[in-house]
Amino acid sequence: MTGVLEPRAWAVFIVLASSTSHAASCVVCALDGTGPEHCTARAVNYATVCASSEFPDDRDCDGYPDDCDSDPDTPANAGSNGDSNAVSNDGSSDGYGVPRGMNPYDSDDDGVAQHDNCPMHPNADQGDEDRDGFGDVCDNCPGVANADQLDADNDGVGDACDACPGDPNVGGVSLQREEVMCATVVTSFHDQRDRERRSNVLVLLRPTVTALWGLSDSGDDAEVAAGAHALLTGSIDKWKLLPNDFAVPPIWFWHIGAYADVTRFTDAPTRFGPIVGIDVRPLGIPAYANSLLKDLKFGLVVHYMTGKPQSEHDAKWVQRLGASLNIGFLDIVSLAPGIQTDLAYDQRTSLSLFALFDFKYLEDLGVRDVRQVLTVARSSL
Amino acid sequence: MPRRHLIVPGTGGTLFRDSTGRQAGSVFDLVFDASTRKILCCAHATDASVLEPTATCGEAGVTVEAQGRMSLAYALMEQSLVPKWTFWDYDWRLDIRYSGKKLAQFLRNTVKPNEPWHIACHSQGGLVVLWAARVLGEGLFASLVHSVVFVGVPFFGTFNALEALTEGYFINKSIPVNVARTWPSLYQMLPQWGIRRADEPDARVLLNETWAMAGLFPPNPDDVDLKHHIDPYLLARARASYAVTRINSFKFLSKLKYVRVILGMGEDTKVGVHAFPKMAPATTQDGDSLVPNELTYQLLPRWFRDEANVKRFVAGPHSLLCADRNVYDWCA
Repeated sequence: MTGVLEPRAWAVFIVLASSTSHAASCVVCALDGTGPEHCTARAVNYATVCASSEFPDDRDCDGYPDDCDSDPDTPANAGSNGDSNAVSNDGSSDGYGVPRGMNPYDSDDDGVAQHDNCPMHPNADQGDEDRDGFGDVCDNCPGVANADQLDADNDGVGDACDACPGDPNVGGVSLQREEVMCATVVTSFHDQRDRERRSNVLVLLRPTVTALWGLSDSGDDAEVAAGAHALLTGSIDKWKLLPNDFAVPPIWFWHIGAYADVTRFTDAPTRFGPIVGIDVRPLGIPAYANSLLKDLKFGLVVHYMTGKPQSEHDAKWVQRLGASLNIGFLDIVSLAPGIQTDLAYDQRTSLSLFALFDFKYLEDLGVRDVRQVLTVARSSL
Repeated sequence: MPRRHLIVPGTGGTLFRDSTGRQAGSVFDLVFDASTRKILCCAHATDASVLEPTATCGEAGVTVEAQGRMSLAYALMEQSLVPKWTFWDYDWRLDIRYSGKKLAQFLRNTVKPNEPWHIACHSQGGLVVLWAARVLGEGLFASLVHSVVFVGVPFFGTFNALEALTEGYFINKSIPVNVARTWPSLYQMLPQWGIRRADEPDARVLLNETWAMAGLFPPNPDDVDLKHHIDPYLLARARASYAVTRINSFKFLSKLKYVRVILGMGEDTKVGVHAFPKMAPATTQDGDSLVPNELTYQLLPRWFRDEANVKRFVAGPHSLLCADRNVYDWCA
C-alpha cells in the first residue's frame, strides 16, 4: 500500500499529561507508543489501560486523564484525541483529529468509542428512547425495545414495530392500518403466485398419500390407505393491487376435489368421493393481521365417501357424508377434525380427521418436479 | 421468449492476462509462481465513494485485465452448446460496487429486443448482480434480464473472507495476506453475523474496534504495513457498501420473471471463532465450505424466501458448485 497511494496525513494522538487548561498544555502521545517517555507505557490501547486500572486519574477509563478530558465521567473519547467534538475530525487531518472513519476505536467518529450504541452511525448524544441498547439513529424500532433487532422482511423496520413483519413496507405502518392489512410485495418470479394474481382459479393435480386410522366403540374399524387426489382451488376474492408494487392477497379461498384410495393397508374396501372446502385468512382484521395468527387459515371441509361395505355382513355400499373444521398453517399443514354420518346405515355417525401437508419446503430442499404434494389422512369409525 | 445465457463467475473464477495477452495469473498460479503474486494487489482511493481502483501494484508497466475463466469450476458452461453461455469476465479483487456498475453497463450495451439475459451467478458474482440490479433499478433490470440463478452466493458474507484478511488463508493459503488485504471485495464479503457468539450485534467485524482490539488495525492509517495490519480505508469502504445494502437487499429483483437460489450442503463451513484474531478452533455449520446453508437461508428476507425458488443440494465444495451436474441443470 505504501508508495502506491498518495501520502495521507496521519494523526492518532492521546492526550496524556495533566493540565488545568484543556488540551492546550496536555502532552500528546501517539497511539503506537512513540513520543515522550511516559507515553510508551501508556499508549498501548485504551482497553489495556482500562483493564489494568493503571491510571487512577482517569475516572472514565477512556485513556485521557481527567484534567485533559472534556468529559471525565464519560468514556466518550477513548482512542481518539480527547476532542469530543467529532465534527472536527472531518478528514482534514489537521494534526489533532484523524481522517474520518480511521479512528481505531470509534468507527463513526462521533466521539463515543467504548460501548457506542450505534457504532456505524454518528450519535454523540447516544439517545436511546426505548433503552434496548441500540441508539435511536440506528435502532430499527426506536420506540419499541427490541434488543434482537430482527427484521424478517429486510425493510429496515424491525419486526417488533412492523405492522407486517413478513412483507417489506418501508415506514412500517403507513401502507396498512387503513382498509388493508399486510400488503405483500408483488414479484413476477413466482409462478404460482403469478397465476393466482391473474386469476382466481388455480388448478392443481396432486398425487396423494392417505392414511386412515380410527377407533370405534367396537374397536374393529381401523383403516389405513394411500390415495390420489385431484384438486381445483382458487380464491373467492382477488388480489388487490396497490401502488408501489404492493398487493393485498385474497382472504377467501375455495377448493373442490375428488379423492380415491389407491392402496389400502387394512382390509377395509376402497373409498372414493368428492371433497369441497372453503378457507379464510382474515388479513383485513388488524388484530389478526398483526399477530402470530396471521399465518393461520381457518375453514370448513365437506366430504362424501362411498365404497363397498365395511364387512361382508353389510349389503349396501357405505355413503359417508361429513363436515370438518379446518385449521391450517399457511400452505404447509392443515388439520381438519370432523364428524361424518353414514347415510346408508341408519345415519351411523363417526369421527374423522384430515391432515393435509404441502411439500413446498421439500421442493426447496431439492426434490425436483414435485410442485405440490398433498397428503390426506382420515380417521373414521 | 428466447434468452441469452450469461455466467458471472465467483472470486478467482476469472483469470488475468497482461497487455500482451499472456496469462498473468490465476488463483492456481499463485500457489506456484511468486512473481504473479506481485501483480494481484490493487489500490483504491481513500474516498469510499470512488469505486474505480487507482492502481495495480507490482511490476512497473504491467497491466492486467480480467479475461478467461477457470475451466475446472465452469467446465459445464464452457462445454455447453445449447444453451451457449457468455462469460462475463470481471476483476473480482475490486470493489463489488464497481464490478456491479460495470455489469450494469454491459447489460445496457448488449440489449437485444425480445432477447433478455438469463444470468447464472456464482459466489461473489451474485453480489455483483445484486449491485447491478440496484444500479439499474428493478424496472430496467427486469427489461434487460429475464431471470437469475444465484449459486452459492454469500449474501451475508463469509467467514472465509475474515480468514483471508486475518491470516491469508484464502484458497488454501495461496494468497499472501498482504496481497489479499488490498482487495476491497474481501472486506465487502466479511460476515455480517456475529462471529464470536450468537447474540453479538451484526457486522461487528466491519468496525475498526474489532480489528484494533485484535491488533490488526494500523496505528497510522496512511502508512500501513499490510503484512501486519489491514487497510483501514478498505474496511471503511466495506462499511459504506454495507450501509447501503443492509436493507431492501433483494427488492431490485422483484420484477424478474424467475429467481432461483441454490445453496450447497454437506460441507463443514466455518462461521465463527471465540477468540478473534485466533482463527481456531472455529465453529462450523453445514454449508458448501464457504457459504453456510441454514444461516444464509434464515437471513434471507421472508418474502424473498417465499417467492424465490430456493434449492439446497449436496454438491461438493463451494468453488466447484457449478461443476456439479445437478446444480448446472438448475442453472440452465
